Amino acid sequence: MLNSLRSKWISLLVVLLSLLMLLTGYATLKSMRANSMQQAELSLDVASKVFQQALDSRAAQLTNSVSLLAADFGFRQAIATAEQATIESVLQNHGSRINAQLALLLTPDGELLASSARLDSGDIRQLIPATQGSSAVTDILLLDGQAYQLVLVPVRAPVIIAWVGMGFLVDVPLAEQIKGITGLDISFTQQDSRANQQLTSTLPADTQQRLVNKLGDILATPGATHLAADFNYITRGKALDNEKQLWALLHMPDDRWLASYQQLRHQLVEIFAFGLVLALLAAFLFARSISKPLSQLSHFAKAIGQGNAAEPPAISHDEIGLLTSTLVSMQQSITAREQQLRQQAEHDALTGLLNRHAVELRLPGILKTQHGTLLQLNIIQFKHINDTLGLANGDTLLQLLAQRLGHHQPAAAFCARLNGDEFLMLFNQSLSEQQLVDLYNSLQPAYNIQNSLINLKIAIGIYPFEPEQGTTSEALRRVDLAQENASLAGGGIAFYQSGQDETHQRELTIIRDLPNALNSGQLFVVYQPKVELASQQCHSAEALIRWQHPQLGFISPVDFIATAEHSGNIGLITQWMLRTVIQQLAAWQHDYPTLRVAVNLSAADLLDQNLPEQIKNLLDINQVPATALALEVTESAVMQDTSKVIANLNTLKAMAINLAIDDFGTGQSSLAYLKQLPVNEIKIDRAFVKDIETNTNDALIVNATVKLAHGLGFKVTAEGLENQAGLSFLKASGCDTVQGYFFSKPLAANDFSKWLTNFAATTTPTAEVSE
Amino acid sequence: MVINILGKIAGTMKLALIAGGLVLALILHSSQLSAASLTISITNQQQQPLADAVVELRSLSMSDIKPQRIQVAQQKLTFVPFVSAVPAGSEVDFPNLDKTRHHVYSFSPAKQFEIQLYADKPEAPITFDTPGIVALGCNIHDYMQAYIYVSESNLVAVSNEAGQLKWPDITPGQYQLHVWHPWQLEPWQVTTLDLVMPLQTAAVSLAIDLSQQKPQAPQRGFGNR
Repeated sequence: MLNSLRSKWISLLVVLLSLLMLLTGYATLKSMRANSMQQAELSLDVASKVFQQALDSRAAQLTNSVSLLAADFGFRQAIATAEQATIESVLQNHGSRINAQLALLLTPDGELLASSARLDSGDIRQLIPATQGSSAVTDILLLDGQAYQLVLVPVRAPVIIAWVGMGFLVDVPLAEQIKGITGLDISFTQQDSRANQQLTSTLPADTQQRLVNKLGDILATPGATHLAADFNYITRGKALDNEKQLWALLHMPDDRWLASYQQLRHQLVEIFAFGLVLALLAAFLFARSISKPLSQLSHFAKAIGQGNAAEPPAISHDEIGLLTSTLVSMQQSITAREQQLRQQAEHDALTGLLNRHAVELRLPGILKTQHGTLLQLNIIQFKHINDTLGLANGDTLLQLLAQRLGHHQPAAAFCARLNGDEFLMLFNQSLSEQQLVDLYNSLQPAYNIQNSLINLKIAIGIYPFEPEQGTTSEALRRVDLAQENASLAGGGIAFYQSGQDETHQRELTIIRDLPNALNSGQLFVVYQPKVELASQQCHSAEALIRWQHPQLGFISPVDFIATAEHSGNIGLITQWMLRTVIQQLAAWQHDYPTLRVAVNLSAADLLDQNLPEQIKNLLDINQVPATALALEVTESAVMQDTSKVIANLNTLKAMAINLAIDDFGTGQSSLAYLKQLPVNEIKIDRAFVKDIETNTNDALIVNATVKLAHGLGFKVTAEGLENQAGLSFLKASGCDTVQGYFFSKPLAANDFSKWLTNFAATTTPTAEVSE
Repeated sequence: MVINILGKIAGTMKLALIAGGLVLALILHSSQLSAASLTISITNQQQQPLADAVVELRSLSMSDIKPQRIQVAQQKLTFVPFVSAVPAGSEVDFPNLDKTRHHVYSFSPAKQFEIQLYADKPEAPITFDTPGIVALGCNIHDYMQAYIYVSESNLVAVSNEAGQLKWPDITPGQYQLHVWHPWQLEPWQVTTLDLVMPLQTAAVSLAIDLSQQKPQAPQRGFGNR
């Protein structure tokens, strides 16, 4: 929060303002205080003068009184008597006339004649200077420990016969009297270390007590103005006597000027508070005027980042506005580039049609709500065309085809190129057969590629769809299946047939489940014995794979082997078969040392150059002799890459493994290759065997094949013998071994062992019989 | 402390005697005189003639005192004369020449008296028996002052405005010289005077308070006459 622009602004302003206010306030208060102090000083000056005047006027009054007294004839007469008692009594009498608290009489030379108080020599010494003159003298003196305003007047008769002194106490009544004139409280005290610090004051008693504690400080510099925090008076001393022993302290209450000082201070605080609030408000508003547009811009920028079409904030004429317009232009650039990217992302660079990605984006919405027709087109043998004409011409051809698709009427909702030579068209309507034929025909005319006219074979798969009928991937798969069917048909139009997709799904399940099934025991091997006709003995068998799927039930090897071959998983099956069979052979090695079991290999297996090595390893690990293993390959497998397959077969044969050609007679066999193949055996397909006793052609083929094989040095096995009649034919044709339900169906390993034992026990008589 | 110095006849010779600011000059003629005249000139510290100075000559062989009768009048609200000098036992009249009454008094130790409010002439003079200085005052006119010097000797006189006083016929011999003035700053230190010449003069210098003035009636207010 403290990092926000607003709080920074506010803090800065508040700090600056506070600083300014404090400085201003300090200066103002200081000068105000100085001013107040000056005024107080001035007042004190005036009061001090008034005080002095009051004292002087009192002195003059007293002098007059005493002078009159001294001129009184009776007084002079009494003094002239020089009788101590008379003098003392006249002093007392006349002193009381003028309310003097002290009366004394001195000789013209300043010696004490009489006194109403007990004066010591020090007191009298103070008086001597006054008697040197010839006129009245007043002073304030400390006599007998008391402060007196003393008036000394010469007594003339008519020459000076004595000095009479009358003293008037400097006390509270005097202070009150002067207070009445000056309006200030007054204290009298003395700077006399000998005497106790006496204080007579008009101040309240408790204030006096506080003053006593401060007397020391005040009397250290009595002439200065004193201002103490815990004493509510401004105090200044004024010397009463010439010796500066006696002091009058003038007290001016400080609340008068302090009040105005405090009022000003209070006002300053109020102004400060008001200014602060104002500044806070201003800072808040100002910061808001910046931070709000910034925050709006931030939201705007965030919206741009998320790709939302946000309304930009109003563009002002300041830096914020500049930023806003920059962001707006950035937004426009981004939109333009996005458009471009989308164009590139959704369109095929070569043909300008939509690509697969775009199709996948659009199809779901269409499939959900509409009915229509989905077409997938494919150029038959396009790879061949590409190889022949070159990639560049191939591309041109694709562009030409795309153009025709694009210009076709009725127009497709969209045309797309899915990949390579695969195109997709979507129509928002069901197309009649005629319309489809028109479309097909429109693609038939030759395409002009650098003045060469090229004719294309097009396969079109058609999938009409209804709303909510399936997902995009289903639709695409179905149209793809249809097109595949068309392709397999060598071109033309094929509709998707319902159920095709389910078959396909089953294949997918098989492909998916196969690896797991191999490990979880769903697959197992059965063995079908091969019986030697000559000896009526069984020394070999063919291992066949079986799959009991938990959901799909028994799956025919025809189905999943083909699927595995398509999906490239056949290697896994072969490996598993080899491992399982060789392990079984190892187990049988003791009981049936001459038993040879054949395993089927696929075309992919034969292309794998590591196969011989792997087989060797398996045999070695299980300590099974190579002669116990036989491998069966189909003619079509051999035809894939003949030289490589033959090389592999040679290696295997060199390992002393028995090799056989399976399903002989049904594949695209080439007799030219037959002589090159390093095999030991030919297995005649069951198609020629199962009806041999009724079909003379089959019997002929079998006879010829046996003769051909024997001629080439191969053994011959007939597959699929089902009855006794067939056996006779086969025997007659010279077949070496026979395999089929007539002897036994394929058996699990245990059952096969039992069968083998039984057969060995029962065949000897049979053999004798048949021979 | 006396220093005798003989001077020549034909002129005068001034000898300076320094004793309390005194300068004494003697003019000598011859010894063995039956009578002589003595003139004394008195000056203040500024060599100006000093009036109202009292000089008393006291002989070692004291003769009888011959009392006098003088008067100290009150005229124009002052005492006239300001200073009087009489041998002890003399009588003094205080005639009132003014229209107003006066109340003459003295609290001086030599003679204390008062003549309460009176006009014209009191019934009886006042006798001054004790040698000393009597300060006179008037109780209703405080500024009025006057002095009466009561001497032990018959030879006592007051200097005139010229600061001079003269005894035309006195017996030659040795005298104690006493000088007094109301305004003197210091008491006079007694000196000895040898009177040997038929016409002898002496000069006396006396320091006084120069600020003093003879009492005078106020020019304004009551009692203007």
